[in-house]
Order: sequence, then structure tokens, then C-alpha cells
Amino acid sequence: MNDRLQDLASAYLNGELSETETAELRALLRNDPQALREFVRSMDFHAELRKIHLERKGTREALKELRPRRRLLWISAAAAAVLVAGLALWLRTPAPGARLESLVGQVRGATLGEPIPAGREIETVGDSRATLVYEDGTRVELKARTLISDVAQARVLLTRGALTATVRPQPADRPMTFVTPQGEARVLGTTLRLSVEADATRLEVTEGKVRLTRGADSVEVAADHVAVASKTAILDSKPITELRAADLVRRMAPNSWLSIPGTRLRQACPDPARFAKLKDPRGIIESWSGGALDTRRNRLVVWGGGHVNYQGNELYAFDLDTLRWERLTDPTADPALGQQVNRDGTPMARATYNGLAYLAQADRLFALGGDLANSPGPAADITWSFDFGTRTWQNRQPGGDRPPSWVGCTSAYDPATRKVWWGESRTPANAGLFSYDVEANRWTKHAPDHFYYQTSAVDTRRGRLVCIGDGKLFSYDIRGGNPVRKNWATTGAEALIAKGNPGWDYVESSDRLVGWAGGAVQVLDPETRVWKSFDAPGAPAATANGIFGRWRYVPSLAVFVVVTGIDENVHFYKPPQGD
Amino acid sequence: MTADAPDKEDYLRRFLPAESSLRGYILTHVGDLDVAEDLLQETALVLWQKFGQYDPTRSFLAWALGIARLEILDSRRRRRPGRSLVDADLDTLVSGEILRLEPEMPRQRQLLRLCLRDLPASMTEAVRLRYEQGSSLDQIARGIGKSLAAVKVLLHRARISLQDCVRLRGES
Repeated sequence: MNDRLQDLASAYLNGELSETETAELRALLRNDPQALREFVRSMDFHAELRKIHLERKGTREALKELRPRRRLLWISAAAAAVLVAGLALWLRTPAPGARLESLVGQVRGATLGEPIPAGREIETVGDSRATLVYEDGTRVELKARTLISDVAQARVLLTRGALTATVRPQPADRPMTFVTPQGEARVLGTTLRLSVEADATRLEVTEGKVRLTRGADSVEVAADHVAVASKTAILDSKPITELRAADLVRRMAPNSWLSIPGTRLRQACPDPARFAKLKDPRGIIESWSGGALDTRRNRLVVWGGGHVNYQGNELYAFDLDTLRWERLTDPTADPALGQQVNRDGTPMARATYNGLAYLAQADRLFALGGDLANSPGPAADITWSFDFGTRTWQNRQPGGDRPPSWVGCTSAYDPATRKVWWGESRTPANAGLFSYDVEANRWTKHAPDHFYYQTSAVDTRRGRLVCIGDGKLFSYDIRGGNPVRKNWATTGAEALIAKGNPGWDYVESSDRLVGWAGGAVQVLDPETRVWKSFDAPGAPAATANGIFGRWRYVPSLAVFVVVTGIDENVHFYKPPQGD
Repeated sequence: MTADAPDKEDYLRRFLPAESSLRGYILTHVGDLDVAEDLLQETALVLWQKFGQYDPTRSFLAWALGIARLEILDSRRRRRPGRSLVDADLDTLVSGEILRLEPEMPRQRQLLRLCLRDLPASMTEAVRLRYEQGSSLDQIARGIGKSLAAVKVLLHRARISLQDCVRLRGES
């Protein structure tokens, strides 16, 4: 719509159109078909905004708002029962069709056993589940954190989350339709699973066939097939088992989040009945714990628990190609609480903080420090490595000037020096910058300093260890002879810097340091030291105690991966182009 | 209901998909959200009363637009004398355009609902006051503590933002 027409339309709706402007607008609409079309669209747009907002007020409030004349109209309509019934939907009374049949947890916008009012938004709160049943027996199960609206006779608008539907056979001319931000799924009768992410709609069909439409494109999705509709890709259907991360990422828009369906870590957790004494597995993530990126196998390795929380010491890996979790080891069933080493030779469960790193040249996981299970206990000062091939732990027993190790330390692996750079927190006298030479199996202390609640990343272009968190942002040149701390003064990203243990990684291809601790992603140009902030819908809630190394850049996919809880899907974040 | 009474379900099946287009059509004529809402209610009643006369081989929306046109004229005679933006000639063009756009508008409206969720918080309250409460620009200005000019700019930007969002989502 051109600016002048826009101005005239706004003035028209504001009651501010002069006689001259009225004549101008009328002439424009008569003589310019494009202007007429845009104006009609514009009026429809305003009218629909009004409708949406009236619906949101709900039936009761809407009736309260009716002016006396409208009230009379309502009363006169009520005098004719048939007429009232006929206008029931229009006046926002409950619609025929669906009712809330069952509920686990809490749902907003609907009452158990009651019909769903037309236009009402329905949201499952947290991990709640709800099932809607239509008069024809069609069932729609809403998953956790799912928002739907516009539940009409044969239509559901899915805005967020996921649902599973078992649709009874529908008339050929009136298929059940699921509308999402990216497309529509039309169903004549089948079983399907539909989920909406930040910029993609994923449709999985279990039985029958579903037509998924995005704009002018459409694809028929058969049983055991999946299709993803997004802005950036051609619609296609493929067997469910063949879905790969690359397909999903390719469809993501720059500066967007993607919650990867079906990727909660809990599904890989050991049988709780068998390991009940190990306490709540949510501590794997929530108890100040981190992760590392195994670049050889393209997977995010997660290890955590400890403190007074989870006592299992098992390792997990999220495969970034198959999008599946794997439990790499079983937990030690009878941990030697109060000790660093279990009777089976494995390390005691712990809050791992930022004490994990992937040793690329050795293809091992490095682990040091943290807060052992059933703390307070001894310092976790053993340098461990985990062999992914044999799936065994090794106490490295290194030489040199070893860090005492404690909670709140930080580490990052530098492929150029082939060392783990370690920021030690324990007491100012012993704290400082250390490095661990993997091949020499030897520690060196470089400088006294005090690290606490920072996350670090290696700027591989400049050879700098850059640390952020707990109100500090500073670096060390780790490829020169004598590392010296340099504090960075920047403007912006104050909230990220203030956080303890934020997510933080360096992207060599774009030469950016990228941090996240909930909300907007913060991007720092290490050359200019200028921050950029990128807010995008769909970000997960940050883990309360920090993100640690569970936020990692995945070069093969050009996205960040983050794990925020065992009951949360793994998320991808695709950075903006150039950043 | 008698045997000759119109079929309620049939009426609803036809009316509900046409409701939004009717509301837009009426707003095009009257340029006032509240007045349009009143007229829509009145039109809906008349449509129901006359539904027995509707020829199901014709477009329901075309028939309903004709009824709405009569209601608008009647209302204007009773309440708002004066020349309307949309005269008889222009009404023909507007009605024709609405019928041409009918197949694509449901999708546009769905997208608008989605885009509304992404509207910046700074705009949300002004839009809510305008479209939910039917507040005047003056009332909104007082309500959110901004000048009248600032409210106009805010609403203008909100509309542009929403329209852009609908367009972009529609193109995707």
C-alpha cells in the first residue's frame, strides 16, 4: 500500500478525513484498481483486528461491553430460541465441536468436560497435556507448552508447541485443517503429529495421508513419512527415519531458533526404578553442569549432577546428525559418596561447571573440578579423560604444577597449542591461569588470577582465551610467551556479562564471539569490540544456574546448539548472516 | 423449529466463513469500528431472518453483501446523514473486489493472528486499546501517557508492522 493511500485509510478510520481528502480517496479507489484492492484489504485487516480483540475478551466480557442498544439486540435475539442458537457462534458462545476431555496438569482457556468456546486460545501450561475430542470422535492431544486457537468444527490453529491428532474420516469437501505459521495440513482421516517451531512446521504422519500446503506448494505426506514447511525450503516428504539435522537447519531463517521435536534428554536416562537412589536426574543439567562438542562425531557431550543433587555419573551425547540422544555409559549404581573415585574406577558424579573440554587431537573428553555428589567433600582435583572408543575413564595423573581445582572454574581447548586452558577459582593464593598439555600430560601455571563463574572460549584467529561472566569480560593471549590478562571495556550486553556461567563460544568463520544466557543472543566483534543483540522468538528458558558449555557452535551445521534441561527439547540457533 | 424453518446448521456453515468479509465490507462503508460492529450484528439478524430466501446456488457472500448494503443505507438514513465515502458506483467495485479476494483472505486473517503475537510490546497496548476497547486516539494517549501525535505514529507503525508480517509470512 502506498504511503498516501495508507495515510488516507488511517485518517478515514480516525474520522479525520476532510471533504477534500474524501474526494481524493474516492477518486483513487475508482480509478486505480490496485489502490482499490489495497484499500479493501486494509479495511478487512482492521476489521479482523477488531474481531480478534473482541474474541480475546471472551464471551462474558464482550457482553459487558455491549452498549444498551446492543444489549436490546441481544435480548430480542434471545426471544427467538432458534435465532439465538443460530447466532451462538457469532456471539462467542461455546462452539459445537470440541470439548476438553482429559487433562494432566493445567490448561488455560478451557474447562475439563466443557465445550471449547469459539475463538478461545487454549494453552497447556508447562509440561501439562490435554486432549480435545470432537463430536465425530476426532481426538487432538496437545503436548506441553502448546498454544492453539480458533478451534472450529474442523479447524485448529496451532501457534506453538505440538499436537497429535487422530482424525475420523471427514467429508471430502471439508477436510479437517490444521493451520500453522508456515502452512496448512489438510486431513481426511488419519493419525498425525504436528509441531510448530520458531520458523518451521513439522508434520509426521502415522497412518493415512495428509496434504501439507505452504503458499502455492503442497506435498502429500504418507504414513511413516515426515515433511517440514518453512520459509527457506522446498516442501518434500521423506521417511521419518531419514530426517537429518542438515535438513532442519537448511530450512531455518537467519536469526531464528528451532526447538527440535522429540529431543528431550530424559528419554535417554536410565530406568528410574533401577537407579532410584541416585536422586533426581534433572540435576544432570540443572546442577551447575556443562558440556563439550565432540567435533569428530559431531555431537554434544553432556555430563553433570553432583552437589546435593543427582548422583549418577553417566555421560550423554546428543548426535547432531541423527538428532538422537545416546547414553554413553551407565551410572555407577553404588557411588562411593565422599570419594573422588568410585569403586569401579569411574569418577564420582559432579556438578561439572565449565570443567569439560573436547581434546580434538586425542579424541578424548577432558574433565576436571566441579562439585562432587553429596558435597561438601574433597576437591575434585583429578584430571580425567574419557575415551569415546572404549567408553572408559582414565585418571591421567599428570605432572607439573596442577591446579587445585574447585567450583566455578573455567576451561577451553585450543587446537593450536593443543592445550586445555584453565581458569582456576580456588582461593586467591592458588588461583590463576593454567594450561594442560595433553600430549605431555603436564600442567603449567602461567599467571596468578582469580576466575569464578566465567565461561571461556578460544578466539582461534588471534590466539586469545576470552572469558565472560559474573560481571567480567577479559582475555589472555595464549600463544605469546607470557599470557597477560586484558580487561575489555565494551558497551552493551551488560546482562550477559553480569550472568554467571553464560553460554559463550567463538565462531571462526564469522570471527565473532557469541553469548547466550536466555533472551537475546549477544554477538561481539573481537576486532571492534562492538556488541550486537539479536532477539528472536522461540528461545528456550535459560537454565537457572548457567548455560556453561552446553551452548556450542557447530561448524558443520553453522548453528549453535544448546541444552537447557532434561525435559526440554534441544534447540538450534542460527545466527544472522555475517554474524 | 418447524419443518419449513431454515436449517440452523446450514446457516452457520455459510455465515461464519463470510463473517469477516462482511465486517470488512461494512467498515469500508462506515469507517468506524464500533459502528461497523453494530451494523454487523444487525446484518447478521436480517440474514438469518431472510435466510429462507437465499438461493443456495448463488454465492452466500454476494447475497450477504447485498443485504449488508441495505442495512448500511438504512442506518445512514437513520443515524448518519451526509455523503459517504462509498457511493453506489464505488460500492459495486468494492463488492466485486471483496468477492475476488474471498478465496485468499482466510489465510491472510490467520496470518494476522499469528503476527499479532510477534508485535513489539511497545505497540501491543495501544493496539489493544484501539481494537479491543474501541478507545479513541485521545483516550489511548491518556491511557498510555503519550501525546496524541505519538499514539498516531505508534498505531501507524503497528499497522505497518502487522501488514509487513502478514505479507512476509504469506510469501514464505
